[in-house]
This record gives sequence, C-alpha cells and structure tokens, in this order.
Amino acid sequence: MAHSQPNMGQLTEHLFRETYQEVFSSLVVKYGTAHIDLIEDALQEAFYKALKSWKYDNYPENQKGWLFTVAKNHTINVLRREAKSTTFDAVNFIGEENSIAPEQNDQLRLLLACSKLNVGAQAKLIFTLKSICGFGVDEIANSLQISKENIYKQLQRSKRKLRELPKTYFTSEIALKFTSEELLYIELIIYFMFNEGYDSFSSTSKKAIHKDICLEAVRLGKSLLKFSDKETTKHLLSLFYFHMARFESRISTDGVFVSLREQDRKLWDGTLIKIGFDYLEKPQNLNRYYIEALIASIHVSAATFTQTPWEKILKLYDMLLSLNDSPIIRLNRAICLFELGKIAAGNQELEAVKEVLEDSYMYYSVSMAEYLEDKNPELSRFWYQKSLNNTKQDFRKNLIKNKMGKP
Amino acid sequence: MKQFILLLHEDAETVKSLSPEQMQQLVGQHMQWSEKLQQHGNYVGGSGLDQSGKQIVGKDLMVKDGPYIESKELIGGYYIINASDYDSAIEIAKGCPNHLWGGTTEVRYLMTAEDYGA
Repeated sequence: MAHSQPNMGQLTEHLFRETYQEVFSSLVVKYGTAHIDLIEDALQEAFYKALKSWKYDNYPENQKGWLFTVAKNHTINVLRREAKSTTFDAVNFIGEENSIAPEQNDQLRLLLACSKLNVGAQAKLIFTLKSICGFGVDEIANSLQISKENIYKQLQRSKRKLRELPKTYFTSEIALKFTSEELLYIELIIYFMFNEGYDSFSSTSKKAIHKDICLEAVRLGKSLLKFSDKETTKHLLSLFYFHMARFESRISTDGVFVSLREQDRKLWDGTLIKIGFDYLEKPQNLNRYYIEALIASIHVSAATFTQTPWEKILKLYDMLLSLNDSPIIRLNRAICLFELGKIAAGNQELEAVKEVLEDSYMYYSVSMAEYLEDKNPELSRFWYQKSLNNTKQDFRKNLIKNKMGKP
Repeated sequence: MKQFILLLHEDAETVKSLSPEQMQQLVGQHMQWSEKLQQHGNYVGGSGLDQSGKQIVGKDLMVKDGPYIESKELIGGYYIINASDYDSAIEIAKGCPNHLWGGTTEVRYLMTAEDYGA
C-alpha cells in the first residue's frame, strides 16, 4: 500500500522504539517467558525487513501494525518449526496471525514481573530500559557508564530469573492489580529511571537519549496511574514535571550544563510547572516523592536563586532524611545551610558525604564543585577531580575541564 | 547520462544489532537519500535484497540454496543511479547510508552498445 504523501522519509519520531515496547511485552505475555530470546530476534528481524523493503515513496501506512505482524509471524513460524521436533503445542497459536494490535497493559505486567525479580536495582533498571522501553545496549551503556559486557550479563541473569516466575504474572486473563508493596517497587524503578536520564549532563548532540529516558519514565508513571490511582504515583509524576520544566535551562546552547543557581528562569516551562502542581495533591501519608516534589515546586516558584525560601527547604530536607537517608539529600541540605549562612554546618555535612556519594552521580558532583568554587575551593577541587575520574567519555571530560578552567 | 549500479555490501550482523532507534534512523536515512536522488534526477531504482535465495548453477541448472557466504560480504541491497561519469557516480555513492555502519559500496557501470559504437 503506497503512502499517500511521500514526505522525505519522515517516520513518526521514536516509532521503532515505541513498537518495540508494545510488541515485546505483548508477545512475551502471549507466548511465555521461555521464548524471550526468540521474541527479541523476531523484533530485530522485523526492523531489518523494514530496512530492506520500505521505500521512500512506498511504505506501509500503518507502520507499527506492519512491524507487529512481521515480528509475530516470525515468532509463530519459529515455534511451529520447533514444534515438529519437540512436544511443543503449536496448534494453540495457529490462527492468531490476524489479531491486529498489541495489548498496552502488557508493559505494566512485565514491569510488575521485573519488580519481583531477585536481582539488584541496576539489573532491574537495565531490564526495564532494554526490554520494556526498547533502548539499545549501546544507549544504556552510554547512559549508565558501564560496559556492554556487564549489561549483557545482567540482562541474561534477569531473563533467567524471569523464566522462573509463576506463569500467572504473564496471563492477560488475570486482571492487572498491584499491592502497595508491588507499587512501591515499580515506582522505585521508574524513579531510578528518571534520575538516570536527568542526572546525565551532556552535550546537545548527545542529550536526546537522556531526555528520552526521562520521557519514558513519565510515560510508565502515567500508565501506572491508570491502574493504581495512588497518591505516591501522582507525587512521583509531580516531581518529574517540575524537573522537566527546567530541562531546557539545564543545558546551555554550547552544550554545557547549567546549575540551578545559573539557570535562566525565563526558560522554565510554565505549562509543565502547572501540570506538576496538578499532580501535587496533599498526601494522606507523608512520602518521599511528595516531599521531593514539594521542594521542586518551591524552587520553580522562586523568582531568583537567592530569593529561595531556604529555611523552608531545609526543613523539608530534614523530613526527607528521616524517611530516607541518602548522600544526594545531604548534598542538597548542605547547599541550604550555605545559603542560610551556616557555613560550618554546611562544610561538615559535605565532609561526611564526600566518600559516600556514588560515582555515577555526575550532575551532582559537577554542580557541587561549581557551587563550592568560592565557598570552599579545596572541596570544590575534590568534586571536580571526582567527576573527572569517573568520566569515561571525552566530551564529558572536556566539559568538566572547561568549567575547572574558568576563573 | 550514464547508469550505474551500486551494490551495497553490508555486515548484516552489525546492522541487525542496532537499537530500535538507530534502526529507525537508518531506515529514515535511506528514504531521505533516495528522495534526494529522485529530486536531483539521479534515481532510477533500488531495493533491499532478501538474505536467503537460490542459486542456479551451470548447464545442468542445478538449484542450490544460497548465497551462503560470510555475512559481512552479503549484498544487502542495490541502487541504480544516473550520473555523468564514474567520478560523479562515486561522489553520489559516498553519501549512501550504507556506509553509516561500515558497509562497502561497489559502483559498477551498466554497459550499453552506444558506449562502443561509432
């Protein structure tokens, strides 16, 4: 079927990744976790066939449907072939070629299953990014700054664990429901995912993927909300929207990241801030996402950095610490203390956190280094050096060196 | 105007291992490139080729499955283009998205009787 108006081969943005997300989860639910590798191959084949057969003046009108059908037929064909040599019952799958659309909820089913896996937080994040969100191993390696081999290893382990889970997780006849505990796990994966995308400061040419990871986290959060309607999920989304409102101001035109103090507040997106406030419902039970969203809402409402109500924010950070002690919270708390003129207390907090902060928190390290330049030059150099040591990519190293070189 | 065929040798394994996003970009780049050729009057035709195929061998017309060669050397597709001479055909072919992931493009002139006639 010819496309009615050939338009420079402009496919809908992220069409293939979106297809991957929907089709992968859908086929796993349909055919079972035993065939995950086959389903990955099938998607690869479908994309490859698109490369071979789509012409600039002639490509399918419903591209997603086309890719879905090709991937599904590949899966069925291989299963049929296997059925001849094993006891696998392929008859069940015959006649299914005609179903036209993947099931949206299957992504949440898979996310729920992933949250149950007995693997570390990073492995869950990797599986979510690769299989549920359709990012490539290269892209994940670049974002997480870990080796591809490491990613493959963690993926294999997660897949193995996934196959051990009871089939009921993947049965579409059973209504999708989450217990509070499950919800907590899922929210945490989404939260990690957003931070992963948000924390990576990068040159304009490389930033696309990072922003995409954030947008994916938002998308998953929203689909989760459809099923749970829990306040924590709303607070999580509120936090995401306040952060996203500042996205454009965080990277200057020449690709250098800009800290909160230096950001041009006119660039902040008022529409996104409004959505952030819409999700910021007063909670029945205090939770970390609410407090974090509240802090973000105060920042986006302040006219200038110095006019920020630091006393109020300090209190909120104290509350956060009582719920969840983390080096990032302590870093931010130190900034409050500095802004309130409590220099000694600020320095003390920073000394305590200096060795504990995970190496991967690039944005925070550089941000802190810059912030401390005039307040505590020695600590500032420490943070710069830490970021440099932990950066593998040259373009990032250069960004940091440029900042260090500034008077 | 002369016609040339561009035979696109690709490493199928590399191409297949691209992420969905990278794959979409590659598909889009081929589309944009063909469209540009079309606009400049260079485009004659082109297509991707199926990885599997048959070979009919010799006088006996023996039919074999194939081509079973190294995936790196596989011809994954072709374009036929108009160009004034080899040099400009080569310049055009250098822009082919086949090269973005390390492919090799073979440029061959399609011969006609006029080239050799009086």
